[in-house]
Amino acid sequence: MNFENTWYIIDHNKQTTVIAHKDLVALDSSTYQMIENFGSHQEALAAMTKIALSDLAKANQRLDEI
Amino acid sequence: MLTKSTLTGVWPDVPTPLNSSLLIDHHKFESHIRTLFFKGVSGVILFGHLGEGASFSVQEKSDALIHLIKAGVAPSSIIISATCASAIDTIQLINLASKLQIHGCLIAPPFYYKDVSERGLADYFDFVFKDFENSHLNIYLHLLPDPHYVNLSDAVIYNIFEKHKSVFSGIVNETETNYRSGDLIKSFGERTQIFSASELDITLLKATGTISRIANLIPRTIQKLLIQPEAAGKVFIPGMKEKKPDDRIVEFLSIIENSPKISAYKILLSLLYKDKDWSNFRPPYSEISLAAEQKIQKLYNAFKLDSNNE
Repeated sequence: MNFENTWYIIDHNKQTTVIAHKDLVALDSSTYQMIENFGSHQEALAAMTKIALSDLAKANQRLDEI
Repeated sequence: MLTKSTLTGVWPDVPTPLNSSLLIDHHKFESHIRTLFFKGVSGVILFGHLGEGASFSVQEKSDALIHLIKAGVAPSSIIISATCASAIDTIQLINLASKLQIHGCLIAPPFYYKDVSERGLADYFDFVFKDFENSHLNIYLHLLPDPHYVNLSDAVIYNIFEKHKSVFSGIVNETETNYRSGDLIKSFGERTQIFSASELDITLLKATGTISRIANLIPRTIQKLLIQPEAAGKVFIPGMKEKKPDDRIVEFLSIIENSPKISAYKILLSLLYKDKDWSNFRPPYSEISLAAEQKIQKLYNAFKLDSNNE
């Protein structure tokens, strides 16, 4: 399977972010955790948006509990 | 002599992701499979026991298969479970697999009916394979957990293999019975390849390939065990014990212990991918209790999965 033009969601510097394959291979592998691979930037961004909204909902829930 | 299987490496039995309408989420399916290939798996099993295969129609399976191949998944790295309640559906899936030139199919006797005779089981395979001529499609006899599926005795397996020598490339044991793989090796090991869906059987089988549920989350760990079974030997560093691949498998199994497997794996994938939709189930499967889900989450967090290396 070809990964050259694919995109990733990774955990890097305590943040979840979208990154292109060429940028991922340039990173030191000990500095990130690869979460998921996507065939297009659009799909990666859509998944990232869902993660961000989910984190936001969790943060709101914690605030409500306080 | 039967044709030897070419199934090598790690082949995860992949759960099937669903969207909020409880239809197959093709994009999520593709990205999970892409991620598995990035982590070095050799192929994937689609619509097997873990993939809720019994819940999807032939058309849904066909659409998913075509989507994945169009997305760049090599047909030679796909096995589909063709086990259906209807023999005609099974034949349709075998024909589709042959047309798309995928690696092969897993076939178990039809489920639902439990009081079938040995003669009936033999007739079933005669019916399914009566016009089968494809020499490059690998067909694996799939043994599934009793009591959900029909149990095949060694005598029945022997008769099926005798009558359809040119059809089968191996036996896949997913019965979840500890001693079954060892028994299969004794009975059929000289005439065909035996594969197990239990990762703890890898060293026993000395296999070159394995079908694995755990590989959905820690494929590289399964790969290490497959390539270097000696890694299961003692490796001590003064003051600390190095974790061996099979230690991690035992740790992993403790996360899902006593939980329904399909639900547990989908919850784990929802945690790995931070995507709640992974835990959508098509009825009759449903969400497990909140307490059970929280327990899995707690154990998963303690497991500290290293997704770059595992």
